[in-house]
Amino acid sequence: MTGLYIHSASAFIGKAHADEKLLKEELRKYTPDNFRRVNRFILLALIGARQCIHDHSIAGDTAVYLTTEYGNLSNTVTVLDEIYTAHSLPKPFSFINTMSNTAAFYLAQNLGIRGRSLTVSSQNLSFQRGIDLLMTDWSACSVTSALIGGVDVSSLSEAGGDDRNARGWQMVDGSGWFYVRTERKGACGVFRENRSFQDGATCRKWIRDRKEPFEDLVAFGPSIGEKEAAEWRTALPTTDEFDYLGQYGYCGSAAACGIGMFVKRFRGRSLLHIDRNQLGNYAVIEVEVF
Amino acid sequence: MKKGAFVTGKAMICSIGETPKEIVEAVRDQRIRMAHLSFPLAGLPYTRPYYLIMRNEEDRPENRSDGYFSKILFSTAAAAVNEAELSDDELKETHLFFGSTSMDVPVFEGNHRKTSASVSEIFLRSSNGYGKIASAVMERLGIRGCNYTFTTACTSSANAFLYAASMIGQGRIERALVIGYDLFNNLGFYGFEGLKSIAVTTYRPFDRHRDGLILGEACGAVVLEGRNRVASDFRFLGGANLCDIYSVTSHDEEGTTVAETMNRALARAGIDPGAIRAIKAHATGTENNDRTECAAMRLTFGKNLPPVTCVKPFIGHTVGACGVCELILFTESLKAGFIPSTPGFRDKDEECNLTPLMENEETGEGVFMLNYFGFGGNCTTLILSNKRGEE
Amino acid sequence: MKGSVDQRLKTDLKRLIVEECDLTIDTDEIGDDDLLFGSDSRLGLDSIDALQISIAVQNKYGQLITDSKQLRKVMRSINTFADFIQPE
Repeated sequence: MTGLYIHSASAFIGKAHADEKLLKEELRKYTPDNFRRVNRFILLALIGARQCIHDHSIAGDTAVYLTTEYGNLSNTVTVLDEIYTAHSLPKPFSFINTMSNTAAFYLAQNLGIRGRSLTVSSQNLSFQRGIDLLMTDWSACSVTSALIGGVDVSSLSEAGGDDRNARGWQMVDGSGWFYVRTERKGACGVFRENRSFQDGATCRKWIRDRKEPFEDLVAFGPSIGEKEAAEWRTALPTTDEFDYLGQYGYCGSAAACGIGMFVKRFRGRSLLHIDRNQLGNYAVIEVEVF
Repeated sequence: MKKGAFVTGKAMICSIGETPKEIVEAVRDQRIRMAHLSFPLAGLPYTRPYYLIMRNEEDRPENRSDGYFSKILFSTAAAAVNEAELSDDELKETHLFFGSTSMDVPVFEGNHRKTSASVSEIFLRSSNGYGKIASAVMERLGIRGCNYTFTTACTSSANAFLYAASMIGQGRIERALVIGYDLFNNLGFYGFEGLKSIAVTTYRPFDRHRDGLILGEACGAVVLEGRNRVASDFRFLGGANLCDIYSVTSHDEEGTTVAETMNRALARAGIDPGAIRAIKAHATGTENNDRTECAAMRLTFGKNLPPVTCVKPFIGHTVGACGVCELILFTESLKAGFIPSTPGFRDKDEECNLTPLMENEETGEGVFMLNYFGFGGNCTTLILSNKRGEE
Repeated sequence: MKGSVDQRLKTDLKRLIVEECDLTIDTDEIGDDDLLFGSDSRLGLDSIDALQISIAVQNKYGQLITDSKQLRKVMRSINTFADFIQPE
């Protein structure tokens, strides 16, 4: 048990390449602040997190853990173009936003929170690794209230910018967030487990050996291929599946969005989320919705 | 139970050396090497200084290839692992904590010279996200643990160190390899010039005549373990990270959040401000940073401010790599018996009202504070000790 | 013609400022003598805006401003800015 009680969750799924003006309009539903100097990635982070907070009042020392595969890399492209194609010094707004933690900053500033602020990535398992870091702070009692989310823009999630990727998933912009606290009172769910394994065999053994498997839904992350998913289906006690990738689409932060969607949609149920990275490390998240 | 986290291996390359020993000797003698680079792509009629690695022809920015960047990264990581004498099995169980701002941008810029494709085309085609370099290090060294890439601007590798040490302290992991990596790239060099942040000739943090930062490149790696290998290994006592929401590019000059970060780090380390023997300041040499940092140190330490040193004038501001690289430079100097001086400092600034060490100061064992700040309001403080008999 | 009497140049500069600084006002809401920077000004632009504008100006008009103090002086108002770009 992680003790990470979910008090609210969100999953903003946006159309790939949608006009940024529409994103600004969406954001205006949640905050009157006018954001200058922001880009698509920052807007997505703000929308997802503000949707998650909604009408919750949050503690001033709430920490922010922003996980992302590609973060502000689209901005890095803009700046490289300014230097190499336009032969100019980069414009400050764009350059500053190549520092990928500016999204976490604007979020903290907008919410008036002054806790820890991290932006972290880990190829294919960014959200899971973000929870690792959050749990470290949780155990040390240096954080008791946090916003953790996964945000990615569609265009860099897979080069080419096609509407659908090779596996047929719709390419989307995604921003999935969780407001977590140490106290159970008022919570709508809990992250029961967040475990990492060096390989698939150890992961399977752990799942098999659990004394009280309880989840009634399973979800496979984007890195689990069709063939492997089929193997898992035969190995798992439950076969009911939450196919968030098929239903909502894919971006680098699909896992955070999928789990956010689960918390919003499946009251009284629980989910086992399995994913891996290209090095063969596995990560399992168990979520229970009250 | 809270365990210690000890720095048992380290390696580093920067403008003044390619081993910690070489670097410490250069620091002791104030031997600094700076290049003056122009902005040919933007056609600007002037140069700006940069702390460039300049050992041979291969190091010249225009000669650098893909292999060059990975060689620096992998050889530094491997040297740290070797110094800690990790066995293959130990290495396999290690977890990787990586901090950088430029990531693989230098590689894309280098490839651009060899093809007709634009940098952004190359970048879009082959970028695999921020986590890619950490994965490459894992594969190369045979590490099978988890990997974490921190992208919090100039505090990136300081935060990587903070979390690695905290996880070891909590017994979550046994061992970590922490890397700070930022090599020369036009994106950063032109970008900071666009912000008019680069000093014209000399690095002078805290000085009345300071006129900005001077960038540098470096790669540093440390191995952190739950036990020391030799008695002189530095131990992590505590640290903290907070976000100053004053502005995306600068901190509140009252220094409140910065001071709060220092205070929280002291509390986590379980020590009073009076126990700090010396402070390694972040000291970027910009107007705002230096004023803020001095105000914050005064809020935390009052009239009893311990000696303060600014190490950026030796190796430049190595941006995301500065967390690990300045930690190595500072702690290795301490092990060699001295707190480094601050070259370039001449005249006290009335607003900062702080004179950093102008000569090396002899020191024995002690507890030390290291401060790091960055864009996005990020503030990180680390507290390390080499006092014996406390492990 | 001095920049401050060149209405077209001044309109172009206002448009450039609105675009570069991502402002939500119309160009004609900026008065020719309005302070552009600082808490006393209605626009409330800051030093990063000034740098953003200076690079845009450099790209568009070829005028290089390397000193940040000069930058602030030049960009006091639309009139001072226009005179800098077009002194006569």
